[in-house]
Order: sequence, then C-alpha cells, then structure tokens
Amino acid sequence: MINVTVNIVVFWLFVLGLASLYRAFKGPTATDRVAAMNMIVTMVVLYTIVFSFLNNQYFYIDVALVFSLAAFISTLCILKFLREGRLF
Amino acid sequence: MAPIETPEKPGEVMEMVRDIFVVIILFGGLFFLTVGVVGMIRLPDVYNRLHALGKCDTLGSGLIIFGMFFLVPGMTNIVKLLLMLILTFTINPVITHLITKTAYVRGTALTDDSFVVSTYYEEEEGEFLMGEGDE
Repeated sequence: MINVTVNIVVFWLFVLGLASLYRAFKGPTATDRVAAMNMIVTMVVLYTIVFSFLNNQYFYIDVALVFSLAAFISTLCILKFLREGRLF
Repeated sequence: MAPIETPEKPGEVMEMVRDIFVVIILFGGLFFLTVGVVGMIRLPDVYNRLHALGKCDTLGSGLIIFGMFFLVPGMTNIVKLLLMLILTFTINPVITHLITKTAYVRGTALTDDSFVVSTYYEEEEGEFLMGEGDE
C-alpha cells in the first residue's frame, strides 16, 4: 500500500511541476516567473525526498537539502537584481 | 484436530495503522499542493498568485515531509528531514514576502476592478506606488 501511494505521489508531483511550468512560460511579469520557479523548486525537492524512499538510497535527502538552500540563495539574487538593477 | 491458530503479532497491527496514517498525510499534502498550483495558474494577478503560493506551498510540502518521517529508517535521516521541515517553514514565507515586495517596488499593476482601502489616502498627496506596471 505504501509503495503504490508513493508512486502516485511521485507521478502527481511531476504533473504539478509541469503545470507550474505553464505559468513560468506565460507569466506577464518577471515576478510571476520567479514565483513559478519557486514552485518548481519545491516540487523537485519533494520529488527527491520521496524518490530516496523509493530507491532505498537515503543520501538523496542531503541532495534535497543542498538543492533547497541553493535555490533560496539564487532566488534572493534574482529578486535583488530585479529590485536594484545590480547584484553587488 | 483443529489447526493451531497463530496469534497475530502486535507489530503488524501497528504497521497497518502507521501505513494508513502516512497515506492520509501524503494525500493531504498532495491536495494542498494541487490547490496551490491551480490557484497559481487560474488567478488573475501576481499578488493573488502569491497569496495562493505562500500558504498552500508551505503547508503541502510540510505535510509531505512530515509523512516521510515515518518511512525513513534511522535517527539520522529523521533529523535531516526535521532540518528540511524547519528550513521549508522559514524559507517559503521569506521568499513570498520578497517576491511581493519586489512586485510592489517595480510597480506591478493590480488587476482590473480592484481597489485599495486605506485611511491614509486622503491625507497624503499623490497616489500610491501602483503604477502602470511592467509588461
């Protein structure tokens, strides 16, 4: 029962990531695209955690942690660039 | 002679209860993430989309990570997942607030038929920062 559920979760997270890619493609402003990127990053992090259970390789949790932190820093940099026009 | 009935282990019942609990939590997280993505696609404005994103994203990802607590073995992985839960609950509101602030500073227009209710409006001259918007 757990395996079927986790497979459904992985498939549905994939579908949700593709659906939020639509907003990243069509968003009228740049902040829409940043929001859609944030959503896709969340989907990928959850996908990695659930995939670590499916594959019995639990070091993928570390991968998800590092990916989440890197996406946080990159989103901060993009937003600062959008606000002030420069990074440093 | 009747076959001897083997008594059911108490561990199996506990595993069944745990599995049902985990399934409910995982599908709850999927429900909230689906609501967030549908809101981000359907809503008309960047502020409305961030309203949908900031709540549903945090709650859905938190529920899914909390459901994975009961599936991973070992204390180390559980501590890592707890760290991820704390990071998600702190990073997601900060990111949502910064995206909204950036959209406000850049002067993104509100959608049509929306209005601003403010008690300071009559005292100050000029208009709010809501400009023409960037296309």
